[in-house]
Amino acid sequence: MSIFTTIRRNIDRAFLTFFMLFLLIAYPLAPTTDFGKFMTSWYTKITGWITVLGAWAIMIGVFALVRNNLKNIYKRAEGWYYDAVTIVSFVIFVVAGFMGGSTGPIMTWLTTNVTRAVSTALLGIEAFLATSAYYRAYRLKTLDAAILLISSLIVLMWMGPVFGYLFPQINDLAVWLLLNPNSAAQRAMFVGIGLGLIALAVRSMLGRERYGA
Amino acid sequence: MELRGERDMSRKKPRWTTRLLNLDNPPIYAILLIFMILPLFYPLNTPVPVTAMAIDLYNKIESLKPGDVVLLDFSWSYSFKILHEAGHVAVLRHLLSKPGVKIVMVCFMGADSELSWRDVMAIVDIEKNYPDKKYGKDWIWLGYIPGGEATVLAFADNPWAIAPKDKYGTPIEQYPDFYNAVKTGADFALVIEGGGHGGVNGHVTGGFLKSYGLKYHCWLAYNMDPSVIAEFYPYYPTIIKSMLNGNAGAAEYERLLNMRGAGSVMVDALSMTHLYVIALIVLTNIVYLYDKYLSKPRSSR
Repeated sequence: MSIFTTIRRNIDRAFLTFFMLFLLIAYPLAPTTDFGKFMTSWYTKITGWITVLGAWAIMIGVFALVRNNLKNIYKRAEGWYYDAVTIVSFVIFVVAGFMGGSTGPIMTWLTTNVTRAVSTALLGIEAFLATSAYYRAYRLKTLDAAILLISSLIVLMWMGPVFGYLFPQINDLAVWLLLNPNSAAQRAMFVGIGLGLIALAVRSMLGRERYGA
Repeated sequence: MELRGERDMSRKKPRWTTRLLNLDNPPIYAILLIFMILPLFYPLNTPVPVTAMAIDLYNKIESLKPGDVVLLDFSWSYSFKILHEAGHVAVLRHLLSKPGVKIVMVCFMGADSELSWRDVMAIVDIEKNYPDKKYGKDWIWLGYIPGGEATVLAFADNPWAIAPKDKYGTPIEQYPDFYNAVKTGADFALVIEGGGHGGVNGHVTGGFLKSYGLKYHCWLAYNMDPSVIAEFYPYYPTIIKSMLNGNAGAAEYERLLNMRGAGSVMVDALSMTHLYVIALIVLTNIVYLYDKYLSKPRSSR
Protein backbone atom coordinates (compact mmCIF):
# COMPACT_ATOMS: atom_id res chain seq x y z
CA MET A 1 0.00 0.00 0.00
CA SER A 2 1.46 3.35 -0.99
CA ILE A 3 1.83 6.23 1.43
CA PHE A 4 -0.79 8.21 -0.52
CA THR A 5 -3.34 5.43 -0.18
CA THR A 6 -2.68 5.27 3.56
CA ILE A 7 -3.14 9.04 3.87
CA ARG A 8 -6.27 8.98 1.72
CA ARG A 9 -7.80 6.21 3.78
CA ASN A 10 -7.01 7.84 7.11
CA ILE A 11 -7.41 11.53 6.37
CA ASP A 12 -10.97 11.71 7.73
CA ARG A 13 -9.86 10.00 10.95
CA ALA A 14 -6.87 12.34 11.26
CA PHE A 15 -9.12 15.43 10.92
CA LEU A 16 -11.59 13.98 13.39
CA THR A 17 -8.85 13.21 15.93
CA PHE A 18 -7.24 16.64 15.52
CA PHE A 19 -10.47 18.59 16.01
CA MET A 20 -11.67 16.38 18.86
CA LEU A 21 -8.42 16.81 20.77
CA PHE A 22 -8.27 20.53 19.99
CA LEU A 23 -11.82 21.18 21.24
CA LEU A 24 -11.19 18.96 24.26
CA ILE A 25 -8.16 21.04 25.25
CA ALA A 26 -9.65 24.42 24.29
CA TYR A 27 -13.04 24.01 25.98
CA PRO A 28 -11.94 24.43 29.62
CA LEU A 29 -9.49 27.27 28.85
CA ALA A 30 -10.47 30.87 29.52
CA PRO A 31 -8.86 33.72 27.50
CA THR A 32 -6.88 34.99 30.48
CA THR A 33 -3.40 33.78 29.43
CA ASP A 34 -1.68 34.05 26.02
CA PHE A 35 -2.18 30.34 25.43
CA GLY A 36 -5.81 30.63 26.55
CA LYS A 37 -6.37 33.58 24.20
CA PHE A 38 -4.82 31.69 21.27
CA MET A 39 -6.88 28.58 21.92
CA THR A 40 -10.17 30.37 22.53
CA SER A 41 -9.72 32.54 19.42
CA TRP A 42 -9.36 29.36 17.33
CA TYR A 43 -12.25 27.82 19.26
CA THR A 44 -14.36 30.82 18.14
CA LYS A 45 -13.21 30.37 14.52
CA ILE A 46 -14.07 26.66 14.53
CA THR A 47 -17.44 27.56 16.00
CA GLY A 48 -18.01 29.75 12.94
CA TRP A 49 -17.21 26.79 10.72
CA ILE A 50 -19.72 24.68 12.65
CA THR A 51 -22.37 27.33 11.93
CA VAL A 52 -21.51 27.30 8.22
CA LEU A 53 -21.55 23.49 8.14
CA GLY A 54 -24.91 23.59 9.91
CA ALA A 55 -26.25 25.93 7.21
CA TRP A 56 -25.10 23.49 4.51
CA ALA A 57 -26.72 20.62 6.39
CA ILE A 58 -29.98 22.59 6.39
CA MET A 59 -29.65 23.05 2.62
CA ILE A 60 -29.29 19.29 2.18
CA GLY A 61 -32.35 18.83 4.37
CA VAL A 62 -34.32 21.36 2.31
CA PHE A 63 -33.30 19.62 -0.92
CA ALA A 64 -34.38 16.22 0.46
CA LEU A 65 -37.69 17.65 1.72
CA VAL A 66 -38.57 19.26 -1.62
CA ARG A 67 -37.48 16.27 -3.70
CA ASN A 68 -39.35 13.66 -1.61
CA ASN A 69 -42.53 15.69 -1.38
CA LEU A 70 -42.56 16.54 -5.10
CA LYS A 71 -41.99 12.87 -5.90
CA ASN A 72 -44.99 11.88 -3.76
CA ILE A 73 -47.18 14.52 -5.42
CA TYR A 74 -46.09 13.43 -8.92
CA LYS A 75 -46.79 9.76 -8.11
CA ARG A 76 -50.08 10.61 -6.39
CA ALA A 77 -48.87 8.55 -3.42
CA GLU A 78 -51.18 8.00 -0.45
CA GLY A 79 -51.71 11.30 1.36
CA TRP A 80 -50.05 13.28 -1.46
CA TYR A 81 -52.14 16.33 -0.55
CA TYR A 82 -50.23 16.61 2.74
CA ASP A 83 -47.03 16.79 0.71
CA ALA A 84 -48.63 19.53 -1.39
CA VAL A 85 -49.44 21.49 1.79
CA THR A 86 -45.81 21.09 2.91
CA ILE A 87 -44.46 22.40 -0.39
CA VAL A 88 -46.90 25.34 -0.51
CA SER A 89 -46.09 26.29 3.11
CA PHE A 90 -42.39 25.96 2.41
CA VAL A 91 -42.59 28.24 -0.64
CA ILE A 92 -44.67 30.84 1.24
CA PHE A 93 -42.20 30.97 4.15
CA VAL A 94 -39.15 31.11 1.86
CA VAL A 95 -40.66 33.98 -0.16
CA ALA A 96 -41.64 35.78 3.06
CA GLY A 97 -38.10 35.31 4.36
CA PHE A 98 -36.58 36.86 1.25
CA MET A 99 -39.04 39.76 1.46
CA GLY A 100 -37.94 41.52 4.65
CA GLY A 101 -35.99 38.84 6.50
CA SER A 102 -36.90 36.77 9.52
CA THR A 103 -38.45 39.69 11.38
CA GLY A 104 -39.94 41.46 8.37
CA PRO A 105 -43.65 42.32 8.34
CA ILE A 106 -44.79 39.31 6.27
CA MET A 107 -42.76 36.81 8.27
CA THR A 108 -43.90 38.39 11.53
CA TRP A 109 -47.52 38.12 10.42
CA LEU A 110 -47.06 34.50 9.36
CA THR A 111 -45.23 33.56 12.57
CA THR A 112 -47.76 35.28 14.80
CA ASN A 113 -50.92 34.18 13.04
CA VAL A 114 -49.97 30.79 11.63
CA THR A 115 -46.95 29.19 13.33
CA ARG A 116 -47.66 30.39 16.85
CA ALA A 117 -51.39 29.76 16.56
CA VAL A 118 -50.83 26.18 15.38
CA SER A 119 -48.09 25.46 17.93
CA THR A 120 -50.12 26.89 20.80
CA ALA A 121 -53.11 24.81 19.70
CA LEU A 122 -50.91 21.71 19.71
CA LEU A 123 -49.66 22.57 23.21
CA GLY A 124 -53.28 23.01 24.30
CA ILE A 125 -54.27 19.63 22.84
CA GLU A 126 -51.42 18.08 24.83
CA ALA A 127 -53.19 19.12 28.04
CA PHE A 128 -56.28 17.14 27.03
CA LEU A 129 -54.31 14.10 25.91
CA ALA A 130 -52.25 14.14 29.13
CA THR A 131 -55.43 14.29 31.23
CA SER A 132 -56.86 11.31 29.37
CA ALA A 133 -53.58 9.43 29.87
CA TYR A 134 -53.59 10.20 33.61
CA TYR A 135 -57.16 8.89 33.83
CA ARG A 136 -56.43 5.64 31.99
CA ALA A 137 -52.86 4.76 32.95
CA TYR A 138 -52.43 5.84 36.56
CA ARG A 139 -53.89 2.81 38.32
CA LEU A 140 -52.74 1.15 41.53
CA LYS A 141 -52.08 -2.19 39.87
CA THR A 142 -48.70 -3.10 41.36
CA LEU A 143 -46.32 -1.83 44.02
CA ASP A 144 -44.15 -0.15 41.33
CA ALA A 145 -47.21 1.59 39.92
CA ALA A 146 -48.18 2.73 43.42
CA ILE A 147 -44.73 4.29 44.01
CA LEU A 148 -44.88 6.04 40.62
CA LEU A 149 -48.43 7.22 41.25
CA ILE A 150 -47.77 8.63 44.70
CA SER A 151 -44.56 10.42 43.68
CA SER A 152 -46.28 11.82 40.56
CA LEU A 153 -49.18 13.07 42.65
CA ILE A 154 -46.79 14.88 44.99
CA VAL A 155 -44.94 16.55 42.08
CA LEU A 156 -48.26 17.40 40.38
CA MET A 157 -49.45 19.05 43.58
CA TRP A 158 -46.20 21.02 43.73
CA MET A 159 -46.72 22.16 40.13
CA GLY A 160 -50.22 23.44 40.95
CA PRO A 161 -49.41 26.39 43.23
CA VAL A 162 -52.63 26.29 45.25
CA PHE A 163 -51.68 22.92 46.81
CA GLY A 164 -48.37 24.31 48.00
CA TYR A 165 -50.30 27.08 49.72
CA LEU A 166 -52.86 24.75 51.31
CA PHE A 167 -50.36 22.03 52.29
CA PRO A 168 -46.89 23.61 52.58
CA GLN A 169 -45.35 20.20 53.38
CA ILE A 170 -46.09 19.18 49.77
CA ASN A 171 -43.47 21.65 48.53
CA ASP A 172 -40.78 20.20 50.78
CA LEU A 173 -41.70 16.66 49.83
CA ALA A 174 -41.70 17.40 46.08
CA VAL A 175 -38.37 19.24 46.25
CA TRP A 176 -36.93 16.32 48.25
CA LEU A 177 -38.13 13.92 45.53
CA LEU A 178 -36.61 16.09 42.80
CA LEU A 179 -33.34 16.70 44.63
CA ASN A 180 -32.73 13.16 45.86
CA PRO A 181 -34.22 10.17 44.00
CA ASN A 182 -34.66 12.16 40.76
CA SER A 183 -31.20 13.76 40.84
CA ALA A 184 -29.49 10.51 41.86
CA ALA A 185 -31.07 8.59 38.99
CA GLN A 186 -30.36 11.35 36.47
CA ARG A 187 -26.75 11.80 37.58
CA ALA A 188 -26.18 8.07 37.17
CA MET A 189 -27.70 8.33 33.70
CA PHE A 190 -25.57 11.37 32.76
CA VAL A 191 -22.38 9.63 33.93
CA GLY A 192 -23.37 6.59 31.85
CA ILE A 193 -24.01 8.77 28.80
CA GLY A 194 -20.70 10.59 29.36
CA LEU A 195 -18.75 7.34 29.56
CA GLY A 196 -20.52 6.11 26.44
CA LEU A 197 -19.58 9.30 24.57
CA ILE A 198 -15.93 8.97 25.63
CA ALA A 199 -15.91 5.38 24.38
CA LEU A 200 -17.49 6.51 21.10
CA ALA A 201 -14.91 9.30 20.69
CA VAL A 202 -11.98 6.92 21.35
CA ARG A 203 -13.42 4.33 18.95
CA SER A 204 -13.89 7.03 16.30
CA MET A 205 -10.30 8.24 16.70
CA LEU A 206 -8.99 4.70 16.44
CA GLY A 207 -11.10 4.03 13.36
CA ARG A 208 -13.09 1.31 15.11
CA GLU A 209 -16.41 3.09 14.66
CA ARG A 210 -17.97 2.53 11.24
CA TYR A 211 -20.48 5.29 10.53
CA GLY A 212 -23.36 4.41 8.30
CA ALA A 213 -22.23 0.78 8.12
CA MET B 1 -78.39 -20.69 16.24
CA GLU B 2 -78.67 -18.25 19.08
CA LEU B 3 -82.00 -16.82 19.98
CA ARG B 4 -82.14 -13.14 20.79
CA GLY B 5 -83.51 -13.70 24.26
CA GLU B 6 -80.77 -16.22 25.10
CA ARG B 7 -78.01 -13.86 24.01
CA ASP B 8 -79.38 -11.02 26.10
CA MET B 9 -79.53 -13.28 29.12
CA SER B 10 -75.90 -14.42 28.68
CA ARG B 11 -74.62 -10.81 28.50
CA LYS B 12 -74.19 -9.08 31.81
CA LYS B 13 -74.61 -5.35 32.04
CA PRO B 14 -71.25 -3.89 33.13
CA ARG B 15 -71.09 -2.60 36.69
CA TRP B 16 -71.21 1.16 37.27
CA THR B 17 -67.60 1.02 38.45
CA THR B 18 -66.46 -0.65 35.22
CA ARG B 19 -68.35 1.89 33.14
CA LEU B 20 -66.80 4.72 35.12
CA LEU B 21 -63.32 3.29 34.58
CA ASN B 22 -63.87 3.12 30.83
CA LEU B 23 -65.35 6.53 30.18
CA ASP B 24 -64.89 8.00 26.74
CA ASN B 25 -62.74 11.08 26.33
CA PRO B 26 -65.43 13.76 25.63
CA PRO B 27 -66.75 14.12 29.22
CA ILE B 28 -63.16 14.15 30.59
CA TYR B 29 -62.20 16.83 28.07
CA ALA B 30 -65.36 18.86 28.67
CA ILE B 31 -64.75 19.11 32.42
CA LEU B 32 -61.09 20.04 31.82
CA LEU B 33 -62.21 22.78 29.45
CA ILE B 34 -64.56 24.18 32.10
CA PHE B 35 -61.73 24.18 34.68
CA MET B 36 -59.50 25.99 32.17
CA ILE B 37 -61.97 28.62 31.00
CA LEU B 38 -63.80 29.53 34.23
CA PRO B 39 -60.85 31.32 35.88
CA LEU B 40 -60.53 33.53 32.80
CA PHE B 41 -64.00 34.96 33.41
CA TYR B 42 -64.03 34.74 37.20
CA PRO B 43 -60.47 35.33 38.48
CA LEU B 44 -59.95 33.32 41.64
CA ASN B 45 -56.76 35.03 42.80
CA THR B 46 -55.44 31.70 43.97
CA PRO B 47 -52.67 32.14 46.53
CA VAL B 48 -49.13 31.44 45.34
CA PRO B 49 -46.50 30.25 47.79
CA VAL B 50 -43.12 31.76 46.91
CA THR B 51 -40.38 29.13 46.60
CA ALA B 52 -36.73 29.49 47.60
CA MET B 53 -35.68 29.54 43.92
CA ALA B 54 -37.67 32.69 43.12
CA ILE B 55 -36.49 34.33 46.37
CA ASP B 56 -32.85 33.55 45.51
CA LEU B 57 -33.14 35.20 42.10
CA TYR B 58 -34.94 38.18 43.62
CA ASN B 59 -32.22 38.59 46.26
CA LYS B 60 -29.49 38.26 43.63
CA ILE B 61 -31.02 41.07 41.53
CA GLU B 62 -31.48 43.15 44.66
CA SER B 63 -27.77 42.75 45.45
CA LEU B 64 -26.61 43.96 41.98
CA LYS B 65 -24.49 47.09 42.12
CA PRO B 66 -24.32 49.96 39.58
CA GLY B 67 -22.09 48.90 36.70
CA ASP B 68 -22.90 45.19 37.00
CA VAL B 69 -23.73 43.59 33.65
CA VAL B 70 -26.51 41.03 33.30
CA LEU B 71 -26.96 38.69 30.33
CA LEU B 72 -30.65 38.21 29.62
CA ASP B 73 -31.34 35.52 27.04
CA PHE B 74 -34.59 35.22 25.09
CA SER B 75 -33.98 31.79 23.55
CA TRP B 76 -37.45 30.41 23.45
CA SER B 77 -39.26 29.67 20.28
CA TYR B 78 -42.09 32.14 19.68
CA SER B 79 -44.53 29.24 19.93
CA PHE B 80 -43.57 28.82 23.60
CA LYS B 81 -44.32 32.44 24.44
CA ILE B 82 -47.09 31.33 26.78
CA LEU B 83 -44.58 29.48 29.02
CA HIS B 84 -41.77 32.00 29.27
CA GLU B 85 -43.00 35.52 28.60
CA ALA B 86 -44.54 36.30 31.99
CA GLY B 87 -41.36 35.29 33.86
CA HIS B 88 -39.11 37.38 31.65
CA VAL B 89 -41.38 40.40 31.89
CA ALA B 90 -41.26 40.26 35.71
CA VAL B 91 -37.49 39.72 35.82
CA LEU B 92 -36.79 42.46 33.26
CA ARG B 93 -38.94 44.93 35.21
CA HIS B 94 -36.98 44.12 38.35
CA LEU B 95 -33.64 44.54 36.51
CA LEU B 96 -34.73 47.88 35.07
CA SER B 97 -35.70 49.12 38.52
CA LYS B 98 -32.11 48.71 39.72
CA PRO B 99 -30.08 51.88 39.11
CA GLY B 100 -26.93 51.50 37.02
CA VAL B 101 -27.40 47.81 36.20
CA LYS B 102 -26.54 47.07 32.53
CA ILE B 103 -28.49 44.49 30.55
CA VAL B 104 -27.25 42.62 27.47
CA MET B 105 -30.21 41.02 25.68
CA VAL B 106 -29.64 38.24 23.17
CA CYS B 107 -31.25 35.14 21.68
CA PHE B 108 -29.65 32.00 20.27
CA MET B 109 -32.61 29.72 19.62
CA GLY B 110 -34.01 30.71 16.25
CA ALA B 111 -34.88 33.76 14.25
CA ASP B 112 -38.43 33.76 15.63
CA SER B 113 -37.00 34.26 19.15
CA GLU B 114 -36.56 37.89 18.13
CA LEU B 115 -40.36 38.10 18.14
CA SER B 116 -40.34 36.74 21.70
CA TRP B 117 -38.06 39.64 22.63
CA ARG B 118 -40.26 42.11 20.76
CA ASP B 119 -43.36 41.04 22.70
CA VAL B 120 -41.61 41.26 26.08
CA MET B 121 -40.34 44.73 25.20
CA ALA B 122 -43.82 45.80 24.11
CA ILE B 123 -45.20 44.85 27.54
CA VAL B 124 -42.33 46.33 29.57
CA ASP B 125 -42.18 49.46 27.35
CA ILE B 126 -38.85 50.85 28.55
CA GLU B 127 -39.25 54.28 26.91
CA LYS B 128 -42.53 54.95 28.70
CA ASN B 129 -42.07 53.17 32.04
CA TYR B 130 -38.32 53.60 32.54
CA PRO B 131 -37.49 56.89 30.78
CA ASP B 132 -34.11 57.18 32.54
CA LYS B 133 -32.93 53.90 30.96
CA LYS B 134 -31.14 54.63 27.69
CA TYR B 135 -30.25 52.25 24.89
CA GLY B 136 -26.49 51.77 24.65
CA LYS B 137 -25.92 52.96 28.19
CA ASP B 138 -28.23 50.78 30.25
CA TRP B 139 -29.21 48.05 27.83
CA ILE B 140 -28.33 46.67 24.41
CA TRP B 141 -30.01 44.17 22.10
CA LEU B 142 -27.78 41.83 20.11
CA GLY B 143 -30.59 40.06 18.29
CA TYR B 144 -30.46 36.47 17.10
CA ILE B 145 -27.01 34.88 16.87
CA PRO B 146 -27.07 31.59 14.90
CA GLY B 147 -25.04 28.47 15.63
CA GLY B 148 -26.77 26.96 18.67
CA GLU B 149 -24.69 25.41 21.41
CA ALA B 150 -21.32 26.02 19.72
CA THR B 151 -22.09 29.74 19.52
CA VAL B 152 -23.29 29.90 23.12
CA LEU B 153 -19.97 28.37 24.23
CA ALA B 154 -17.92 30.73 22.05
CA PHE B 155 -19.98 33.76 23.14
CA ALA B 156 -19.11 32.94 26.75
CA ASP B 157 -15.38 32.92 25.90
CA ASN B 158 -15.34 36.08 23.85
CA PRO B 159 -18.73 37.81 23.53
CA TRP B 160 -17.73 40.69 21.29
CA ALA B 161 -15.92 38.43 18.81
CA ILE B 162 -19.17 36.52 18.29
CA ALA B 163 -21.36 39.64 18.40
CA PRO B 164 -19.16 42.54 17.24
CA LYS B 165 -22.27 44.64 16.44
CA ASP B 166 -25.67 45.01 18.04
CA LYS B 167 -28.91 44.22 16.23
CA TYR B 168 -28.95 47.66 14.63
CA GLY B 169 -25.42 47.34 13.22
CA THR B 170 -23.62 49.58 15.72
CA PRO B 171 -20.20 48.24 16.79
CA ILE B 172 -20.14 47.28 20.47
CA GLU B 173 -16.97 49.42 20.88
CA GLN B 174 -19.31 52.41 20.72
CA TYR B 175 -20.95 51.21 23.94
CA PRO B 176 -17.96 51.43 26.31
CA ASP B 177 -20.07 50.61 29.37
CA PHE B 178 -20.55 47.16 27.90
CA TYR B 179 -17.43 46.70 25.78
CA ASN B 180 -15.00 47.49 28.58
CA ALA B 181 -16.96 45.79 31.34
CA VAL B 182 -17.30 42.39 29.67
CA LYS B 183 -14.39 40.44 28.23
CA THR B 184 -15.50 36.89 29.03
CA GLY B 185 -18.57 35.17 30.42
CA ALA B 186 -17.08 35.47 33.91
CA ASP B 187 -17.72 39.23 33.78
CA PHE B 188 -21.49 38.84 33.79
CA ALA B 189 -22.79 39.36 37.31
CA LEU B 190 -25.90 37.38 36.46
CA VAL B 191 -26.93 35.20 33.52
CA ILE B 192 -30.61 34.45 32.95
CA GLU B 193 -31.47 31.93 30.26
CA GLY B 194 -34.98 31.88 28.84
CA GLY B 195 -35.86 28.45 27.62
CA GLY B 196 -35.16 25.04 29.04
CA HIS B 197 -36.60 23.22 26.03
CA GLY B 198 -34.79 20.02 25.12
CA GLY B 199 -33.61 19.56 28.67
CA VAL B 200 -29.98 19.67 29.78
CA ASN B 201 -28.89 18.50 26.33
CA GLY B 202 -30.94 21.15 24.55
CA HIS B 203 -28.66 22.85 22.06
CA VAL B 204 -28.98 26.29 23.65
CA THR B 205 -29.90 25.50 27.25
CA GLY B 206 -27.16 22.86 27.42
CA GLY B 207 -24.70 25.44 26.09
CA PHE B 208 -25.57 27.85 28.90
CA LEU B 209 -25.11 25.11 31.46
CA LYS B 210 -21.70 24.11 30.09
CA SER B 211 -20.33 27.61 29.52
CA TYR B 212 -21.75 29.97 32.15
CA GLY B 213 -22.51 27.28 34.73
CA LEU B 214 -19.67 24.78 34.57
CA LYS B 215 -16.86 26.83 33.00
CA TYR B 216 -17.24 30.38 34.30
CA HIS B 217 -19.26 29.64 37.46
CA CYS B 218 -21.60 32.57 36.83
CA TRP B 219 -24.72 33.13 38.88
CA LEU B 220 -26.95 31.22 36.46
CA ALA B 221 -30.75 31.27 36.46
CA TYR B 222 -33.26 29.70 34.08
CA ASN B 223 -36.75 30.86 33.21
CA MET B 224 -37.84 27.33 32.65
CA ASP B 225 -40.15 25.24 30.54
CA PRO B 226 -41.93 23.37 33.40
CA SER B 227 -42.02 20.09 31.48
CA VAL B 228 -38.25 19.64 31.76
CA ILE B 229 -37.55 21.16 35.17
CA ALA B 230 -36.89 17.74 36.76
CA GLU B 231 -33.97 17.28 34.35
CA PHE B 232 -32.24 20.38 35.67
CA TYR B 233 -32.56 19.53 39.36
CA PRO B 234 -29.26 17.57 39.48
CA TYR B 235 -27.53 20.93 38.77
CA TYR B 236 -29.48 22.86 41.39
CA PRO B 237 -28.37 24.73 43.53
CA THR B 238 -24.63 24.20 42.93
CA ILE B 239 -24.45 25.19 39.24
CA ILE B 240 -27.92 26.55 38.44
CA LYS B 241 -28.76 28.91 41.27
CA SER B 242 -32.40 29.53 40.45
CA MET B 243 -35.16 28.24 38.19
CA LEU B 244 -38.47 29.96 37.51
CA ASN B 245 -40.98 27.20 36.89
CA GLY B 246 -42.91 28.62 33.90
CA ASN B 247 -46.03 30.59 34.78
CA ALA B 248 -46.03 29.38 38.40
CA GLY B 249 -42.49 30.75 38.76
CA ALA B 250 -43.56 33.98 37.06
CA ALA B 251 -46.47 34.32 39.50
CA GLU B 252 -44.08 33.81 42.42
CA TYR B 253 -41.78 36.51 41.07
CA GLU B 254 -44.69 38.87 40.48
CA ARG B 255 -45.71 38.35 44.10
CA LEU B 256 -42.19 39.28 45.22
CA LEU B 257 -42.47 42.46 43.14
CA ASN B 258 -45.97 43.17 44.50
CA MET B 259 -47.45 43.26 41.02
CA ARG B 260 -50.15 41.24 39.26
CA GLY B 261 -49.06 40.26 35.77
CA ALA B 262 -49.79 37.52 33.26
CA GLY B 263 -48.23 34.86 35.50
CA SER B 264 -50.66 35.57 38.34
CA VAL B 265 -53.58 35.48 35.90
CA MET B 266 -52.56 32.15 34.39
CA VAL B 267 -51.82 30.57 37.74
CA ASP B 268 -55.59 30.40 38.41
CA ALA B 269 -56.12 28.09 35.43
CA LEU B 270 -52.95 26.19 36.34
CA SER B 271 -54.18 25.51 39.87
CA MET B 272 -57.70 24.60 38.75
CA THR B 273 -56.57 22.15 36.05
CA HIS B 274 -54.09 20.53 38.46
CA LEU B 275 -56.91 20.24 41.00
CA TYR B 276 -59.06 18.49 38.41
CA VAL B 277 -56.32 16.11 37.25
CA ILE B 278 -55.39 15.15 40.81
CA ALA B 279 -59.04 14.63 41.76
CA LEU B 280 -59.50 12.53 38.62
CA ILE B 281 -56.53 10.31 39.47
CA VAL B 282 -57.57 9.85 43.11
CA LEU B 283 -61.24 9.13 42.31
CA THR B 284 -60.35 6.76 39.46
CA ASN B 285 -58.12 4.76 41.77
CA ILE B 286 -60.76 4.57 44.50
CA VAL B 287 -63.25 3.31 41.91
CA TYR B 288 -60.62 0.93 40.50
CA LEU B 289 -59.95 -0.62 43.92
CA TYR B 290 -63.67 -0.90 44.62
CA ASP B 291 -64.20 -2.51 41.22
CA LYS B 292 -61.48 -5.05 42.03
CA TYR B 293 -63.16 -5.73 45.35
CA LEU B 294 -66.54 -6.27 43.63
CA SER B 295 -64.92 -8.58 41.06
CA LYS B 296 -63.95 -11.05 43.76
CA PRO B 297 -66.43 -13.84 44.56
CA ARG B 298 -68.65 -12.98 47.52
CA SER B 299 -67.15 -15.77 49.61
CA SER B 300 -63.61 -14.37 49.42
CA ARG B 301 -64.50 -10.71 50.11
